Amino acid sequence: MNRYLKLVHMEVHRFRWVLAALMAITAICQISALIVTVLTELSRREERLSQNIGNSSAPVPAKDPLTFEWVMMITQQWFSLPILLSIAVLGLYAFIIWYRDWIGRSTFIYRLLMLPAARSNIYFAKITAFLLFVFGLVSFQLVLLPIEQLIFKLVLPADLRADSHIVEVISINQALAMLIPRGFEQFLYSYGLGTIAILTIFTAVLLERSYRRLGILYGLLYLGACGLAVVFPILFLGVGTPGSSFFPEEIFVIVLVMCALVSCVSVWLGMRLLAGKITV
Amino acid sequence: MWRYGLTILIAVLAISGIGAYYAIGRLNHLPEYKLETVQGEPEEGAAVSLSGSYLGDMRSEPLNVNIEGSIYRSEDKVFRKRMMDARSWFYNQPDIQKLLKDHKSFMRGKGYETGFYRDEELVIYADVTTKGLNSDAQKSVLRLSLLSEDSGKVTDFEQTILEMPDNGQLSIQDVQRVDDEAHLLFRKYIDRGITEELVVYVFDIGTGEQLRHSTLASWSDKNKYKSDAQTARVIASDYISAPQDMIFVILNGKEYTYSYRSGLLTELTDPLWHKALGTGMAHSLQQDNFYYSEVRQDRIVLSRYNFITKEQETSYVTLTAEQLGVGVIKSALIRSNRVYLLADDKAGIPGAAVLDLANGELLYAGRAVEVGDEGKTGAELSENLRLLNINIVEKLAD
Repeated sequence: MNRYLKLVHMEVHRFRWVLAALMAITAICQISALIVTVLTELSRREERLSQNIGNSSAPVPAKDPLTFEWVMMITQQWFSLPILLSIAVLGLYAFIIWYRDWIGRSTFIYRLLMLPAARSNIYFAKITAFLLFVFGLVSFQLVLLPIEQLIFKLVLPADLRADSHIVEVISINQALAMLIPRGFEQFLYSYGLGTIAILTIFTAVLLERSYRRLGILYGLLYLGACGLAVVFPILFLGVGTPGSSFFPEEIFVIVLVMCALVSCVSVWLGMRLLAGKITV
Repeated sequence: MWRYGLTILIAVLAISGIGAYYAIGRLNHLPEYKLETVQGEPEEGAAVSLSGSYLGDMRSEPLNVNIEGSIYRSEDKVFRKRMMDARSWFYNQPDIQKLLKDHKSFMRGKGYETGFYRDEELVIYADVTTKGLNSDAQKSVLRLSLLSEDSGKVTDFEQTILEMPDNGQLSIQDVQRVDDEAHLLFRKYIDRGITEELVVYVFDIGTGEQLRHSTLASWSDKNKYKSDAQTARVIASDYISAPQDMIFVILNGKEYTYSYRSGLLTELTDPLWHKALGTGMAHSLQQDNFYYSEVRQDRIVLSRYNFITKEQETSYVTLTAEQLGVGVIKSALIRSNRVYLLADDKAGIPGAAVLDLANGELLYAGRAVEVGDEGKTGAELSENLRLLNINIVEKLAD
């Protein structure tokens, strides 16, 4: 257990600057966009007001209060871009977390494999670290939102603003709504499926590392087979088809079983490859 | 310990941020509503579900409100619920729920609600598949399954009932039993649906042998891409598997009754349907009677036609909004022996009323209220809540 935790810390430590950079980019991008948007809207309203003061016959425009939800709607792309960047970086890192150990003259993976501990610790440490990065970034975004709301309140006078609920703020942004599902149950399904995807990618990478050129083919075939296994019940068992031989609740259970099976096979195969195929 | 501070910090952030959001952050996001009983028995309003939207600052949230509370559709966007709600149009029907409860293994692989018939002795299921579509080997194969309620024995028959050069395709509309015969009503599409027919096939229940078939009606629409939704319409019982000798057929603007026992398609000399066109009509076929209602904002009128006596009782019940204690009547549904109304009360708050179909007696009246905030005025409540549809959700008793 101790060895495993040390390996987790090592993986986190290696990625710390990238993680910090992603968080910084997210915070800077979103807070800047928020402040610029609010100040721009304020000056626009003042300009309109001063034009109307000069024209006494024109009606005074109503002062609709601004909400954080409105700001989120206006600045969709500036809030979404850093999120998409983080997703892209983590997607690449799912491969790089392994391949970086094979780069360089003193190949780091051999030092890891020679550690006096079970090799499965390496596999579990990498997946644990990766999941920490994913959930850490999601949590960071969740923590950032109330901070941004506070900044919004600091920038805007109280008579010009109205409150928004955090769920509405998340829902109005397409990237956030996808990243943070409304219900915890759906969160488990979404990120559970993501975790299964990462496990299969890890195993595909180990297949490639184990069999070299042929390993690329094995890895791709393995990814395809896992993907097909997970979607097979939904696509081919007639979920929405009248007269299907399976009831909907049975198809749901089959999907869960297939997901569990793919996870277990991926972990087992990954550890087998690490233990027996990749040699020092 | 401090060496691992970064990892511990990220782990704490990951757990606390997500945990706090789902445990606390989502609370009090959307108001909760329920249907509160104003008059009558709450049990009568148990099947009522009002659907519409809650109007927020920048977006509306679709929801359903019933006597138990409110359910927002966004809360239903869960993978498990989406899977379970697949084919909900079929599984939510009360007689299908009953069949699933009583004979789950028999129900496997059976999904066409119009193909069921059930009485105290027998359950019949029929469906048709077209094999070799648009080829020279095209044929329509009927599958007939019979389940004895007493013994639980299932008998299956399969036979080809249409083949080339007849290139029609069959869609089952209704199944009925007359003594030892199973009568299957099909809509037949010929020449890719340019010509359609209503046909009845009769089978022996004991042997599965086809005894005869007859064509009730035939019509063509060469301008196929014009809407033909009203060309032919079959109105059978609300409970799809219930025994029902007579059905109501609207064909090219004319109205007919059809009796499975006599095999006669009889035109109604005094049409019922068109009398209420444009007033928002609900209808229901229940045993020997065809009920229909005319709904206006200030009143509801119930009429019925008895197939056996041929007696038409127009406006046997007329109730005004004032008599019902509501402000505006918006729509009506007729199910079983009840009339369900969507109505706003005098303050504009949406609600529902339930009437006895036989005599129009008011059995239940309810209105939507916000849970935990009784201080809101009617104007405040109706400002944010728009309930525009009434649905009947009948659940099987345990």
